[in-house]
Order: sequence, then C-alpha cells, then structure tokens
Amino acid sequence: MTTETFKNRIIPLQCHLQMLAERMLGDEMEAEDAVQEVMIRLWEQRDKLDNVVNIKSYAMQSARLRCIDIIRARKATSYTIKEYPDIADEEVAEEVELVERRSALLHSMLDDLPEKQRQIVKMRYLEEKEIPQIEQAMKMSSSNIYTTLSRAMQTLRERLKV
Amino acid sequence: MNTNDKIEELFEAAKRHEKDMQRQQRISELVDQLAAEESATNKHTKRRAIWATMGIAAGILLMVSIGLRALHPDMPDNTKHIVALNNSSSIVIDSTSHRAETTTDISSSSVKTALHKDMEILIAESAIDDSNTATEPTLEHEFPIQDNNLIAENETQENEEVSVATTEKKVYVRTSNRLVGNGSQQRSHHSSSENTPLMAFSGTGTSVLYDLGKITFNNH
Repeated sequence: MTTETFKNRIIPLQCHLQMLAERMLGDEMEAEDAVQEVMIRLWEQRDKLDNVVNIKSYAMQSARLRCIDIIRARKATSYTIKEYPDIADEEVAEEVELVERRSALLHSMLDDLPEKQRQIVKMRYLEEKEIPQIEQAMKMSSSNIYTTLSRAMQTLRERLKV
Repeated sequence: MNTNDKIEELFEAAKRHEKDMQRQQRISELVDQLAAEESATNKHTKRRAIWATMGIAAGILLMVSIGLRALHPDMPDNTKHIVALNNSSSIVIDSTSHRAETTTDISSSSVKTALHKDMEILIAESAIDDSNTATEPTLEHEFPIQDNNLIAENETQENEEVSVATTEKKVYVRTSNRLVGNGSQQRSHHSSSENTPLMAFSGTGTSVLYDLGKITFNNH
C-alpha cells in the first residue's frame, strides 16, 4: 500500500477510532494517544492491509484491543475481556455520522450570516476566543461584539426552527 | 430539547469535527516522516550494496591488470600515477606506499587523495616537504592523465582544507573554509560513468577529480 493510499483510506478512519477509544477509555487525550499508536501500527503493517477485506473493521478491532490493553494496565487487576465496554462498530459509525451532519449543518447556517457576524461567531464559539481577543482582531468595542453575537445567534435560532 | 440546546449541540459537533481534522493532519505528517525515514534507511542499504559491487569491480580490474602485466611485461607499472594539478605542476601518487610527491612548488598544505584499491578507500596524506623543495619524479614511465579524464576542477581558497568523500557513484568535494571559521560546506558532487572508481585530489589551489574508468595509459 502506497503512502498516498494509506492517507486516503486509513487516516480518515481516525474519527471512528477516536470515537470508539473515547467511549472505551473515557478520556479524550488518552484516546488520542491510543489512536495514534494504532495508526502507526497500521502504517507498519500497510503491505498486509491490501489483503484485508474490511479495513475499517480491522482498524476498529485494532483500536478496541489497544483500549482493552490500556484498561487492563489501568486496573492492574485481572480484568476479563467480557468486562470491557462493548461498543459496536455500527454504534460508533452512527455517532461519527451524526457529528459530521451537525457540523455540516452549522457551517451551512454560518455561511448564510453576514461576514462580520460569521467571523465573530466562529471566533467566540468555535475557536473559543475571549472577548478582548475578538475586540483586538475585529477592531470593535466589546459592546458592539456582544450586539453582533446576539443578532447572529438570534438568526441561527430562527433558522433552526424552520 | 429547546433551540439553545440544539444550537449548542451543533457547535459541539463542529468543534469535534475540527479537532478530528487537526488530528488527521498530524497523523498524515507523522506518516510522511516515517516514510522519509524508511526511504533514507533503504538508500543506505542500497548504497552499501553498490559499494560492495564497486569494490568487487575494482578488484576484478586489478586482477585483470596484473594478469595483463604478466602477459605483457612491457606494460607500465600502474601503482604510480601522475596527476596534473595545472599546467605547470603535477603530483605523483604511489598507491602502494601511499606517498605523494610534487614536482613543483605547491604550498605546504596537506594533500589528501582518495583511491580505490580492492574494496578499501585509502586516504593518503602527502609527503610534501614543508621546506617547499621541489622533488623530481623518478619514474621510468609517465602516465599523463588526459584532459577527457577530468571531471571537475575547483578553485580552493587560501587556508581552505578540501576533502573528498565518495558515496554511491558520486564524489562529494567538501571544503572547510577557515575564513568562515566553522563547519564544512559541500562544494560540489560528481557522478562517475558506469561503476568505475573515481580518483580525487585536492589541495590548496585546486582540487581535481578524475574518472579512472576513462584513463588511458600511454607508454612513452
């Protein structure tokens, strides 16, 4: 498997692996580390992946097993395989799809906002910037920013009701 | 669920999606790094294989030349080579004793030559006399290197050490310019034709590089 093929077919599975790992481990950062380890292992095995029929299932199972190892090490006691959180691939796939749909919906709603409102909403609620940072970036007063935010959110709420 | 909660869900999903994109970007960069490291390791292995091949080829050439010498006693002794530095000076390199002697007044700096012999690369330091006395060559035969053997000629600066190193089919000419004070800079690199050994010579004034595969020996 070439590097390009790996990037196109395997790396996009990251969001599924991350969702599964977070559900199993209960910690976002630990899940991110686990997923990265799994990705590296898949990279090392990339020549064998051409023979795998369902690469997504293979990757999910690799992530699942890695999470079980982490849980066992964490518990440091005997922890039978039946006691780990049992999360089906389909359940994860549904959640990932839901995230993608909601994200796409939000971005399409933001695209309909006036430019300034869109920028301020993105900075405040997506990039999680503080008001003073937005004041500096937009060269606006805080009262103007709050007014703009309020109008933007009102528009978004009305859009959602429709 | 009220509208505010729904909006919040949308924002949470968008933030999560953005994080996933950033994570995928990081993994992609990591994969590029791993691929580059793998490629470098493979090149190193290939290089060693090519060196081994070149060494065997050089060994065969040596055997052939010994054999030919045995058949033709008049063939010149090719353990001594004269390398022309420039129009007025030359240096004699004896690959057996690893000594180099100059015919004219080259300034007193160490001269390093890299020669292929069997499977070894020999670095010979010159025996140039620091008193700057010229030494006449005492060979019975001369083997002038023809102009078409010359691959490259570079001007070197005063107090600049020049060294050569070979890898694969390329020779790197490196300089350490003391005027600059530190490090070494790659001056140039050259490829040999086929898999023939390269002979390089450097010293203050000029560095020259010859392809031994193109050398013709003239019996004067």
